Amino acid sequence: MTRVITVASGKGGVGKTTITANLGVALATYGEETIVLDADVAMANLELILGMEGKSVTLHDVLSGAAAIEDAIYEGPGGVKVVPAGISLEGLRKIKMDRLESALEVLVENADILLIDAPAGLEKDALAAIAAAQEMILVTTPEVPSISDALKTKIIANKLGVDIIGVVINREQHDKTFLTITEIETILEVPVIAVIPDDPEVSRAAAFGEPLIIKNPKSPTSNAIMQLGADLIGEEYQPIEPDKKGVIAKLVEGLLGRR
Amino acid sequence: MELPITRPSMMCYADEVEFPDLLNDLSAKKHNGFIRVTTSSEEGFILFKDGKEIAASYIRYSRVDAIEKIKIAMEDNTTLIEIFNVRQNQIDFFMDMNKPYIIGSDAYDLINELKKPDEVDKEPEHIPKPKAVPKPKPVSEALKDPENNSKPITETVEEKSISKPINDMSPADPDNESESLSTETINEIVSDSEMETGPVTEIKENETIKEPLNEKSSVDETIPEPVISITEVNESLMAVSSKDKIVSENLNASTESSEKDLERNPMEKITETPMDRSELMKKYGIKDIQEEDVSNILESYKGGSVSDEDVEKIELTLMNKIKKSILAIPKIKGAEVMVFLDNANGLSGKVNIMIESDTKGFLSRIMGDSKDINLERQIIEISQIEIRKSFRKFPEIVDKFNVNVEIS
Repeated sequence: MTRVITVASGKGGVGKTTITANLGVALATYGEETIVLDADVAMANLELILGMEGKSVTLHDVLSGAAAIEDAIYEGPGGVKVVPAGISLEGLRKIKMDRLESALEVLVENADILLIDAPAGLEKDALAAIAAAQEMILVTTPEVPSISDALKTKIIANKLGVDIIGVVINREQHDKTFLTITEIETILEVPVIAVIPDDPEVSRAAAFGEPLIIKNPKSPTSNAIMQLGADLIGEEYQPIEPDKKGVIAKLVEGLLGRR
Repeated sequence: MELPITRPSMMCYADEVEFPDLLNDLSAKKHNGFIRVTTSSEEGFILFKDGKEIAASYIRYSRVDAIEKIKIAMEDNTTLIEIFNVRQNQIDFFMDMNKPYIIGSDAYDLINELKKPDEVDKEPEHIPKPKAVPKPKPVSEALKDPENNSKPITETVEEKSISKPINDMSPADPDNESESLSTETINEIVSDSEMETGPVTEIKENETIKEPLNEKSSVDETIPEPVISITEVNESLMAVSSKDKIVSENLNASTESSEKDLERNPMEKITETPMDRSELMKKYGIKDIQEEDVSNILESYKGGSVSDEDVEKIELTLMNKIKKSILAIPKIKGAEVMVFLDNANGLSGKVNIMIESDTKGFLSRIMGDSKDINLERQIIEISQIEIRKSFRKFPEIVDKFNVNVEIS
């Protein structure tokens, strides 16, 4: 049976799309037939992170009734399948989120795991993305506004009968000014399933249009996301240790043009 | 001198404190503030900066003369001494205000003379001073009262004035120095230097009743307290309770410290142990969503879109509502309303209304269509009102409805 998991946050800008994209790739590398659906039709970024912008048929077209969902599925990095939302705003006015349900029915037939990148907030499109799933991963940063919004999302998801798998704390900085893992678990009443450190490599990878777990699989963030993916499907994951090269070796490597 | 008279940090009578001791102690404690001595209607002040006497006045006298007068006034047992604290940064301001009273070297000679221990040590041994009891009746009543005996406080019935006994010991007695009145009172002053004293009230000289002290028979008595005579019942009670608290605290110093430890430790433990959810939520100002809000959010989700099945129901409802409203117009004989909704790209609609009007007689036909235009406008408005009422949360939807009226 296909698992439909929505990745939601409440607050925008917490790294939800980055985690969804990389988690999708991670699950695909484990051999799971994974489709990542960008349900953030107003602020679509998934295709940018995965380097898949400019696709002819997108979810916009599907939701406006102009195309079938099958035509909007693309092969992404690591074998993950992606349904981009479409960055163009032209089709926004025509879309009807009611059509998402029938689109999902088709996607579920073609995947082991369907990951939905939900829009931020609790507007109709966000609620549609949450309600469409059976399970949900909450993404938050260890900051009060983010947790406050995550709490609202969690409450609404519970009301909609969605199971919360857990919380992913993104951009953890080991700073005492932020909430601790225990505090976040206590407030949200949901277990923390992954802690992803604040990592400048994430921004670099996004700039290159490559998922971090492919571009830099040894980074702490990649390891954390791979571990999360493994935990979701009950696999074992052995973290990849970063190279312990000296500064000179790295410099030489850089001069030689290796990234 | 012009000085800010606020709540004194300490007050006592001249017979309860040695003036030289007072000066020495204020110097030692680097006191910032001033003392006021009041005898009958005469007032004198000495201003201190970092424990040093810098200005003095006594009625019209100033500087060294004022110090002399204050010294004389201190010999009167009924002279009231009050100590006021002033912030260090205010002292210079008060100095500027009271320049004529700033003392010179001659005054310091006198002050130094006053501070000399040989002059102070008039009573080398601790002999409690008997205190004047101008109103014996309340005292006797107080003495009869076992509670008042145990507590060194006398409370009069009429005046509600309360006196607290003070061990008047010589400061020269090294054994008793720490327990001496003067030292203790100054300690109290210093402890109150942050202007955080408990309730202290003004003393009315004539109303004060002092209970003679015998010996240091109890621990209570060893703890000196300034005499407090309170003119108002509430204030007196507050002062009594406050001072009693201090006495009991001093009595049980060790017990108190252990109790404090006990009090502190649980707090420390609380901070160490994880907070419960409600405390955390309060700490970070996070609130759960209320059930009502959840319902509203979900309602907007459900109500935001219209299914095709709903469209027919909406059409029918709108038709009936508009028709009913139109038929309420007296001129209308009959009305037919048709509503067509389009749900393809958001909800929009068309409302066609056919009216049979009474006004369409021979004369009105000759007069022209001006009345028809008014009626038509009225019907369109009624229809739009009904549409708005049907879509209360989205009243702007009325702009997406086209209303046509045909009058026959």
